[in-house]
Amino acid sequence: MIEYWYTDELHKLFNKARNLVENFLKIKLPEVKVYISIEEYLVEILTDIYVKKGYTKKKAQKMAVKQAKFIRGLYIRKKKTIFLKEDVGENLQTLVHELLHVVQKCDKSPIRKEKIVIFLTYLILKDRFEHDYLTRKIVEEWQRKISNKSAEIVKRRLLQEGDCNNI
Amino acid sequence: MIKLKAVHEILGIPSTHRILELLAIWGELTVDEIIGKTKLSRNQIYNVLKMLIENGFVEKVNRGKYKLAGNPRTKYLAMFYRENIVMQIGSYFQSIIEGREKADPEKLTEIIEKYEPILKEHFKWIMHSLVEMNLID
Repeated sequence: MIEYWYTDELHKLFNKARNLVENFLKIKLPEVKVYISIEEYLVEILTDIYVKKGYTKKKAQKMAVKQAKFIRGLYIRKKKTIFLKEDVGENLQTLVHELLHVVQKCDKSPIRKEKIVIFLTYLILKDRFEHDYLTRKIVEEWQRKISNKSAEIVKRRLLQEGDCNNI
Repeated sequence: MIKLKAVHEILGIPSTHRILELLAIWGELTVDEIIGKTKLSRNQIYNVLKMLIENGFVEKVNRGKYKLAGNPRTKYLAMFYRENIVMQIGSYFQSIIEGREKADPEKLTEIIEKYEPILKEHFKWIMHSLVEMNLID
């Protein structure tokens, strides 16, 4: 069974997302591969990650099967590869989100890494950004956080080491 | 004719609300599926379902599945359960986002097992992030 693949449509989407991110951050993205993958392949990836984190194979597999239903894309740093889940991940919002993780240097906590990426994805996509109830809260929180400052400081924060929240 | 005493009796049983909530979320479920999601005993579930059917809250459908009855009273009840769950999940996720609660992949898995349709409808983008952040090195 083919687990992941590349298409002309994905090529176009990737170019569009890469241009958006590069123009917004004013940097050149490092080389990164992007594929569309089936959910089962993401289950395998998630299982491996959870096994490496110390869960038993059985538990890791159970968590992976459930959680893979909700993952839209995943950047695997060691492989320098982004996998977009077939259908739900093949969109600008998911790909821009993952490309921001590619260049992200700020850290401190996983949730802080996610929140700054959600906010920057919103700034890049604006009206094209699809919210849910909680992404809206995150965007509002970050808008309050930067208040009248320029978005440039958020961009710099993403690209530098240190606490993602510390602006 | 609805017998109020019987209705009060059935609604006074905590497991009744767990079953009604599940049916409100998932639409149709078998007894085995209800066992998997609640850990209630088969006997408890059959007893509660029997009373719920007798009082017009639940209907048996084909292939051994049960669903909420289509009357207005039950529709409002289903709306209440669904909204209540959205509020509870939203509040839990918000506590993670605000750093008041640590994200736990096992707890997230349990939430998916119980509330997958609600998560897909109301939390699809944040769920991506909550899963992804558990995978970060």
